[in-house]
Amino acid sequence: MHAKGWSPDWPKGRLVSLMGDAEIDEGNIHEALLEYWKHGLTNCWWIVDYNRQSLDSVVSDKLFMKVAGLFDNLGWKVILIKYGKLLEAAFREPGGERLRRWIDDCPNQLYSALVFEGAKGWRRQLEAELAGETETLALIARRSDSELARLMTNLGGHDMTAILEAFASAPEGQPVCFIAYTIKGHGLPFAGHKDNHAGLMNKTQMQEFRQQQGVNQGEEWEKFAGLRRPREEVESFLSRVPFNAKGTRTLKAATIPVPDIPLLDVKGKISTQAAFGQVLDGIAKSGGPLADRIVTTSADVTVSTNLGPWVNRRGLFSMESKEDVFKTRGLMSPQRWEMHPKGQHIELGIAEMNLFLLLAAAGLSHAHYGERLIPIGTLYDPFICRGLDALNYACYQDARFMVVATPSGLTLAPEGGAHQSISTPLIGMAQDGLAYFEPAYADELAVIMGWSFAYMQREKAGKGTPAPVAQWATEGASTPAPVAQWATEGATKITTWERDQTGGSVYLRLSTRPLDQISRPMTPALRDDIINGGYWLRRPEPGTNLAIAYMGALAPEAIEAAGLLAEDRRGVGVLAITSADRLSAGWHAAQRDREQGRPEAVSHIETLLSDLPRDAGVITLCDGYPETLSWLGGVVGHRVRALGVEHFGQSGSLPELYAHYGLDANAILTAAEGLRGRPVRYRLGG
Amino acid sequence: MEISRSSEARLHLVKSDNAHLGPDPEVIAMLSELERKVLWLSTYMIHHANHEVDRGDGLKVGGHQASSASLLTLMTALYFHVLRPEDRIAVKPHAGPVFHAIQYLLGNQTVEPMKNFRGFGGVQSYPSRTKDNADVDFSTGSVGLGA
Repeated sequence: MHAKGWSPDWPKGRLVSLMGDAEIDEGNIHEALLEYWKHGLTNCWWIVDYNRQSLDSVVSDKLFMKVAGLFDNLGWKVILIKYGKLLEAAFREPGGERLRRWIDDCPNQLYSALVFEGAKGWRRQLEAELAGETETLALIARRSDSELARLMTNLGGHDMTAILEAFASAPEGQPVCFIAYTIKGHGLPFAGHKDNHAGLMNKTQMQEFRQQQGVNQGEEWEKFAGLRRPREEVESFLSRVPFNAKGTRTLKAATIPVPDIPLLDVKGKISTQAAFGQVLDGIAKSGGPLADRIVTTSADVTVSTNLGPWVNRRGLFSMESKEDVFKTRGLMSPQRWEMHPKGQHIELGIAEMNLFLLLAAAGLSHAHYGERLIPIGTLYDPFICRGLDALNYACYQDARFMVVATPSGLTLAPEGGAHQSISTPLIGMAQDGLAYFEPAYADELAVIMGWSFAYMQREKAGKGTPAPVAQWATEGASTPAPVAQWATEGATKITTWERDQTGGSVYLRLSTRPLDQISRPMTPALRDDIINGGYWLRRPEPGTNLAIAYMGALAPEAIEAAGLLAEDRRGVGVLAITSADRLSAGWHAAQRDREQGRPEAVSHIETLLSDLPRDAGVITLCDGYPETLSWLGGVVGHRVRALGVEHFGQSGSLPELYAHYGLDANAILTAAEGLRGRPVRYRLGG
Repeated sequence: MEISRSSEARLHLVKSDNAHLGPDPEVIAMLSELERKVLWLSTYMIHHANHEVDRGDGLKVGGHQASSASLLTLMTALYFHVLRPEDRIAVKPHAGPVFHAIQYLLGNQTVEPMKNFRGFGGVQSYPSRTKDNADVDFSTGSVGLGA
């Protein structure tokens, strides 16, 4: 923000993360550490709760300090908060150094067990192990049972003075990792016990604990019950707590106006991936607030996902300016990658968890920092699964971003089975907070991108108050956020739903397969249909008995099959699906609305399929798992044959693979025969 | 609501170093008292949900009294003394009850959702941006995410 000259009056804050020691086992922590180093992270505190107990056991003793070395290697300041003030004072007494060595060498298991056993256990153990160390034994003997137990459990992470000293010693301009030694269950009767992770105190223990805390029965929830200081003093202290000084922490940012995204002037064929690169390049070239707020990122596939032209125009983000060495040396390269603080592309190493974590962070910029960003991340579609947990987490936090996954499905044919995505359409449909589109044509993509930039900025009416669900999407006045003009002009009135009104993130599943484009005017009705999830590319004739519903880059197969069927099946309809996700969400919403007493509610897919005779069959076609579209049969009651990919891919040409997995025109013709019995005469040769 | 960004407030909050965070006996005494209070509230919140209400489904409600207690001193120091409005914080999921208790003492949380910890409409098991009514900076719950 500061690098961009935004929020000049807002002080730089810190990112503080309180984490359990066992979290260090998660790989994404290490992926993030490497990326932090590359980007020169500062203003960050990680505070590790080193209670040396993971879920089932006690974390192995020596490993953790190796991890501390890792932080150090990567330029972090590591600050141990190890001993409390009582222990430090005891170490200074005669025999104290021996006590320090004993604690340092004490295996975590034993330490935990002694914490649980209490004073008698400590005394017995220390006297046995330190036999002959008269000064140390005297140090121990000078302490009563309760003093000894307090001393031996006086770890840094439970000593307020030690903690504040550590925070005060933290350097600026460097990330800091505090490793605070703590005791799981500190202050509770089961402190230290290895089985205490999800253990609960019983009623008797709780009653004793309540009495110890000075809380009377019936006052359990009272704010000031049991406090040993005057209430006024505590209230006065609380009213001056800096954390609270500015009220609510969730900020608001103005919405970025979304200009009309021009349709591309395509000569010949183009893929949706190439169209994406061109649309973004057009935005970069024409400039304006939207262009300035877009931040792109990619996990090492910037060029192969077509972000190159955007990066050439807008530069790479870096805290410091760096020249493009190839350019300054006069060497030819299509990539002109200059790095500077105004750059708008963040290049990541190949770690998809980081990609989605970055999208989550950038996508919350409006709420965290009061400055809105429009983050766009690109990756290969199959690798969504590699970052899926972080994607889910980003959506759960209501972060707003666009993820462009390309190539996808069998169009990754030459890459073989491991690189072909099958399950991602179902992820796109099932992931809450993510609107999934899979367009076929460049004009559809431009419309979807324009809509998405506004959708990503829609907001809930108010926290905790769900927006009303039964309003009409086409009534512009009740729409909570900027909606492009055409939305008010549409002809059909269909049910909207909560997520549609409150906005979310967007997933575009794109292809590298170049398609011939359709020359057509982009009418307001067509725009609405594309956003709502589909339209009749070829309207079914009355009395027809078949429709083909296709998604994305399989459009040519659907059109070809419809042509071949012309003589045997009259007036076959071709349904273009741009978003199975929004079609099904709208259908669910309309059913719910009708159940709740709004009989007029109707969804887009119901409107579309009402044009098809009830006894007609529907063949669905999708480059992914077939159930993505098979639900279409449940809408009105059409019989469905769902074609799609059910098994791992393999390398091959696209026609070979479409034939092998049953997605080509001939597969559609065979399905047509299966649905209606009568033979089909014309097939593709070969 | 837009947070006030007057330059006066900024001057007050800008810090050249962290030395002012160092221990002051008065502050230590107050923080230690608040720590005791937060320990009670967070422990009781979990106890109440598990032993004093019947949610009628026969399922264990759960909660992490021990894992909350281990972060208690650190979180007390941070929230009542060290953190500033411009800082953004991710809290270890199992310390959710500590977070909620602190927000309650700071006046950012009410009693009813705490009585309903892990219940429908209550404070969440793990701090959630979207489901909790106090301002949560980062939702946590998937191990390792949030750092």
